Amino acid sequence: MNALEEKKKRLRQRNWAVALALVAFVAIVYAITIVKLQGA
Amino acid sequence: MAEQQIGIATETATVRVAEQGASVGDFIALLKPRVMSLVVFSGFAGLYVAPGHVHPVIAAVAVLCIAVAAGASGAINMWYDRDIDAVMARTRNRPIPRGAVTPEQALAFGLVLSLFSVMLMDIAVNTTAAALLAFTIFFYVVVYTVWLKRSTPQNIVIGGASGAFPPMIGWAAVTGDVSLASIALFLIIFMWTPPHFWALSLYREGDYAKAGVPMMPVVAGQRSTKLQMLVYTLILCPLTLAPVFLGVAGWVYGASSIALNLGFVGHAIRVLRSDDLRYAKRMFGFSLLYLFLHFALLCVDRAPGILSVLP
Repeated sequence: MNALEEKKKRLRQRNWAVALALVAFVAIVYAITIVKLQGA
Repeated sequence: MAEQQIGIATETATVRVAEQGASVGDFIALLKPRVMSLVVFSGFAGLYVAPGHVHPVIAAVAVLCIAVAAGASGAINMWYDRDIDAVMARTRNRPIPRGAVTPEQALAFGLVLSLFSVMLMDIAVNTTAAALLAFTIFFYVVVYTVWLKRSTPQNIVIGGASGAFPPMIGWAAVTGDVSLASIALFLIIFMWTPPHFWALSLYREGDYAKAGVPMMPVVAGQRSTKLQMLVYTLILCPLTLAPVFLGVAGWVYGASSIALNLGFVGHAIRVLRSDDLRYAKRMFGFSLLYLFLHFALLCVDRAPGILSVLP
């Protein structure tokens, strides 16, 4: 695998990681909201 | 000479960054996962043994925030210490000196995660826990990393407070306050840090000296360090029993703690009496087990109706 391909692969992995982190953050805030609403 | 070495290492690293870019694993390495695991566990234990009830989702978010904040502090620490990390054998394979992550990326990563963890802790849990979390990050980054680490051999004694806050944060996540029992949990880790860290620095002394970090063995010598390790270990022993007297733990924890303390003091005496650095290495390994077991036993003792009856 050449350097350019490796660079592209790493970029793709980073993009997926950021996307997953954002989705996880949204899910966490969603869950917190439900719990807080139940408590209220 | 050391400064020249640092310069060359940093320059070479920067060139390599431009070639490949960072992988996801490099960013995970910035979070110091091994250090994080003990921090997370002690934070969870503080949350678990605290009196009161918290929704499991909120508890999970609190632990997540502690984990992310610990990782973020680690990333900022690696950004600031990149010059000495490139010189020390133990740290030269970290993402920045290796050239996998640029210092700017590490700093941005750490700052963003710090902000998110504190913000989320405040929104989801409570302001006391969020304030303690923010103070912990500040203490580790500013007080320990920037101020103390390179200026005094007492660096890890005072700086150890940053590693001692997590159980207090976990406790505050449930109760919303800081009580005597949570301070006792804080003090256990605070007093454990010097013998733990100095055991490591005894057999890594050369590394610290090369990097110009004034660790106790470098400044005061091995004999004095070993003596201080024993003193801190002896102060630690009664402190570990404080949770029993404060009603946080029962006899299972108390009896096990006494046995663990005998082992820890035994290690400290063996280190003091011998010039063989293998004993320091063994004490370092035992210290990790010692702290882990203390907090695990706190949780076991608190588990309803399993082993011991709490007052």
